Amino acid sequence: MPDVYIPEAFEIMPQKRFYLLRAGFKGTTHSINDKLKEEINNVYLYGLELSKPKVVFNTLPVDILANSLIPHSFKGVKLITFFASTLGKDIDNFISNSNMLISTLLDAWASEAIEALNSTFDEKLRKQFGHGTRRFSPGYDDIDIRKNYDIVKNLLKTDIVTVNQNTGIITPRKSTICMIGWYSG
Amino acid sequence: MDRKNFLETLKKKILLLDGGYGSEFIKRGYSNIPAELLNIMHPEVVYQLHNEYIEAGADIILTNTFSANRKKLKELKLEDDFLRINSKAVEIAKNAAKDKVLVFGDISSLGEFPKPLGTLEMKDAIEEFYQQAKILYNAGVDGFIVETISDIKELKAAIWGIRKVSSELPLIAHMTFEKNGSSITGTSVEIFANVVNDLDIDVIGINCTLGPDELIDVFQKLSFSTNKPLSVEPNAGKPIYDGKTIEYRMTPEVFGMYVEDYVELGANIIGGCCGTTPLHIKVIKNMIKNRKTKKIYKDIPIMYSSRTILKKYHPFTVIGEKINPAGNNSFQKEIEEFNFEEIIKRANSQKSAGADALDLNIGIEKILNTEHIKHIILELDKYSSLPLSLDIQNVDFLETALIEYPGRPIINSARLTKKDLDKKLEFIKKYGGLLIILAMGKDIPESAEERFQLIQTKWKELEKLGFSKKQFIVDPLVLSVAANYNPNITLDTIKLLSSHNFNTIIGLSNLSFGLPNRSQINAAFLSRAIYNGLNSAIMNPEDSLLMNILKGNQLLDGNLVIENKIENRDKLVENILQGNQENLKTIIQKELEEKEPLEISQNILAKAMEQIGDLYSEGKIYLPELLLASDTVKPIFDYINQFIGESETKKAKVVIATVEGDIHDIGKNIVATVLRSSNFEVIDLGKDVETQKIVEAVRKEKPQILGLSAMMTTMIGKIEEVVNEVRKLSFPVKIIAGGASMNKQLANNFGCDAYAKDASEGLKICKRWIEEINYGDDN
Repeated sequence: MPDVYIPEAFEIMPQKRFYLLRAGFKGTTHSINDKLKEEINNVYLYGLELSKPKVVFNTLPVDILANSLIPHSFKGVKLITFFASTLGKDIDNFISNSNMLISTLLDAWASEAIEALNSTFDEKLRKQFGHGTRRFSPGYDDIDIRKNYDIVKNLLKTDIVTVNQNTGIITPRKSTICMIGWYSG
Repeated sequence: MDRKNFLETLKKKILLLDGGYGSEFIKRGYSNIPAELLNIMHPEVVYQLHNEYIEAGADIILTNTFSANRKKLKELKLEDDFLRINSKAVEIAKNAAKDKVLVFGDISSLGEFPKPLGTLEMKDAIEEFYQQAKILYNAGVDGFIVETISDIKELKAAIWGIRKVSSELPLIAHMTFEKNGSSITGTSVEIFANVVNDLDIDVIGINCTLGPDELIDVFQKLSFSTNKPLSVEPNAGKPIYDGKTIEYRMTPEVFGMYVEDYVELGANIIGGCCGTTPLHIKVIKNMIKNRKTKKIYKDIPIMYSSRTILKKYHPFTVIGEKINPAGNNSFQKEIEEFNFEEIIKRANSQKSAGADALDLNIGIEKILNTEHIKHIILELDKYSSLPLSLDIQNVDFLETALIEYPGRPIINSARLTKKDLDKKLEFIKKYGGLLIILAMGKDIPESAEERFQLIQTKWKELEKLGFSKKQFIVDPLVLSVAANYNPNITLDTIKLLSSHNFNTIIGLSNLSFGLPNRSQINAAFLSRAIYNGLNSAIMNPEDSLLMNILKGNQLLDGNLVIENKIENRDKLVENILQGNQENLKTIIQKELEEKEPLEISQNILAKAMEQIGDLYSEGKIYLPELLLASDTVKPIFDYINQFIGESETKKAKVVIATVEGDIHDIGKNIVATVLRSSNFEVIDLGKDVETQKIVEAVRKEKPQILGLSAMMTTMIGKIEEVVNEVRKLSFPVKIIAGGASMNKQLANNFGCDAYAKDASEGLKICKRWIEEINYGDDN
């Protein structure tokens, strides 16, 4: 049965250095002027305020899954946890309706925030299931990105994200579909 | 953990301190019990909070002993529990730590500053800190932290008190600063670093007063001023009172957003101060994860300082030579009789003439005692003097001066004999400072080469002992040409020393001793010495020929002269700021020949004080300078007011008090002083004043203004109580509130007419009110 995890706000907080790197700042914050520092921090706070983070997940025995959903690198696993994570649609709206600077910064922040959320959730799963594969998303390696649609529709049975069946693209934009295989049952 | 291991750990990872205790106890319903008393009354509450901080990820927890020094406990009538409160605090923390995290003994302000800003003797302050540290040490702490200190001398006292107990345990030293980077006593964060860099501590840091958003700029200044490991504990923003409880509303997430900014600036230890909770610490942990300390090496210039003035040694330091009573019997007698007016006068005139530091050469040491030395240092500190070069021969006197001196002094000097040098090295290790070493042992070597070789040989020994060239200045020695001395020996020694990166200094006037036309000889020699690489001279800054020659050399070398910050000010303001009462009185007496006393009082003196208040508000002068101005102007007001009718003299009557339960009165005293200096009649009811007593004073004195102060968050409710009671009198008194725990919103909620963040703002508000009242009367 799919389950829902609502993270605490700090669990989606990205490290600022990664946020800045993604936004295009190379080097240290020393060279950033005060006005810009203020914008960077403001956007960080907008991001936290606008995010409605949620994770829907389901852990299933590998033998009931279609082969097309199991990456080659998951060989030997007994269970696979699938999960969809999202920051919600308000971030998308804000990015669309802001000036270039804010949009760029918020986009970078949100990309790192969803990564922070996935890392947090990943750690929680590993504490529960022990030894597992690395976290994997369709579109990489040998799993077609359009499998996102099947995972969301059939395995997670959720509407927190929507997948375009033809492209595998997920909305809201700051969302991901991930899976981790577990070696013990 | 010993200091070496502690420092090694800091190189590998960022350590997490815990968060607030006092604010958290209040939130948990213990607002009516002093936090330290919980150690013996409700140890389980303290244990629980320690545990929560450990679970949140703290690597170091602090004992619940922030205000458990003997002096503060005595104020609370808990001195009999001094030992029990402190040792129990360590026991609770150690039980919670279970050897998995470190337990640091938490030590903070005694609640009263050492002289001259307070009334405490330094030896007593050191003793108080020693007594608390001894208990914490005996109970088994892993290290110490001194935090939320706003007076640099109090910090020194704490460090020396703790180090008297143990030199093996790690010690973290913190001060607290305003947004402008200065403490309320006028010491900048850069001066704090300049002083503490020399002292026997392991980590330097800042805490309290500001949230992480505002503290970051102060932290950046600190980071660029030291190569010691750094720590920081911001507040969770500013306190907000909703009518029932006090809250620090900066969420853990917002707080956490700034954590990495501190990491980028090289923070080794991060924690939280007032208002931070276990969740804040959990979020910090999440943000720093396993990040390593960012190593930033800073090439910090050689600097020396007083309490409020920091100077770079290079390119050239002019050390004024005129505080030297040699050959001046009346000056000597004044000093012997504890009359230091001439010293202050000479300090001010040399400062105005462009000196960077002042050589304090009392000369007549045989007829003085340590009290003389102590008082001279205190007087100069009080008058915001330039940094001092302590030209003191008697080692006991020198040690007294080093204990009393607030900044980083120049120590003049040590011969290269074992006895003298060992003693002075011991001093700079313990008290800090920049030591002048003379190029001589028992005798003065004759040639330049011999003097240089003597320094080189000694330097190799010093280097092995861990000293840096930056801690020393070499005096190649100047003798009188009148005694057939060849000045080229000194010039050649300077050249040799400079080419080997030694800092150099000379006592310039020795050269021309006993000769006519001294100024010309000195100027010519100075020019040649600078060309050979000389960095500083003890000389007469009031000799314009010398100073012009120096400026000319600096221009040729491309070094610009830094402007004196008090240039171009009104003559009256200048005299008040310099504490020059005699000049001030002369000016006023001249004014009296043409103007009415009332006009002088209100339009001239009061305006000058207003300008000084503005300079303070703008951060152009420091608190001690403001207080000095107030001291200076008060007798002049009294003098002029004797010519005016009583009803016309005083602006208005102000009753002022720190509310019941609160024993802090430094801020309130400052406000009273500043108001008095602006001709208000101030009735100071003191600290810890019962509500009914304040109400009674208002009923009896019928003041136009009532000033209330509260520093403790637990006591600010008393302000509301006083306001409610006073309002029942139906007497038209304006009420103004201030203090560390107050803010504008709180003052509004309590029904006050205004809130003032500092003395300067309080003065402005009071003046405005009086103008409004007077204007109303006219109509």
